[in-house]
Amino acid sequence: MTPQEAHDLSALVHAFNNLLGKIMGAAELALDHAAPLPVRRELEAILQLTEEGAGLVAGLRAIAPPEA
Amino acid sequence: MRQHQVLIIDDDLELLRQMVAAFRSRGFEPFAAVDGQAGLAQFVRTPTDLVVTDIIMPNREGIETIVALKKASPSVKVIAISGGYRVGPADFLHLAGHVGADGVLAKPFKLSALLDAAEALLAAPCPAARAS
Repeated sequence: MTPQEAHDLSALVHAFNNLLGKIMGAAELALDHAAPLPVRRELEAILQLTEEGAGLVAGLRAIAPPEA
Repeated sequence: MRQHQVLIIDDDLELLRQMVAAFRSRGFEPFAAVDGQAGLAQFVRTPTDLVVTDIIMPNREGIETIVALKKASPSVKVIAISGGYRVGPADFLHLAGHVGADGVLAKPFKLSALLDAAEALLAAPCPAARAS
C-alpha cells in the first residue's frame, strides 16, 4: 500500500467512524423516548448493527500501515 | 444535588447536537462549542466541571485545547474523543491522556458510554495526584 493509499484509507476510516457514531447516537436518543415495542426493536437493531459496522471499520484500520 | 455543567467541543454539528441532548437528558447543563478556540472562550465565560472535546478540529485542535484548559483550571475534568485520522484514534487518545485528559473514548461510541464516563469522573474524589 502506498503512503497516499494509506492516507486515503485512514481518512475513510475516520469518516466512517464519525458516521457510525452519529447513527448510533440518533438511535440511542430515539430509544430515550417512549416508542412502541416494534419500533424499539428496530432501533435496538440499528444500534447493534452499527456496533458491528464499527468492528468492520476497525478491521480496515488494522490493514492500513500507520503513517509517520 | 447541584446540576453539573459540561462544555462539549466538536466541529461535527450533528454529533455535537446529540451529545448536548444526551447530557441534558441526564440532568447536566450543557454548553456547546464548534472548535477549540470557541471552546476555550466559552470556558473562560463559564468554567464548567467537565469538558468533552474532540481532537481533530479546525482553529485550535483538541490536544492544544486540553493543555490550555488544564492550565486555566487544573481541576477541570476532561474527556477526549476521537475518530482518529492518519495515525489511528488510539494514538491521538494516548497523547490526550499524556497531556492531561482524565478519560478518552474512541469514536464511534455509545452516548450512554460517554454519559457513564462523565458521571464516574465527576463522582470520583479529586486525587492529590493522578495515578501513574
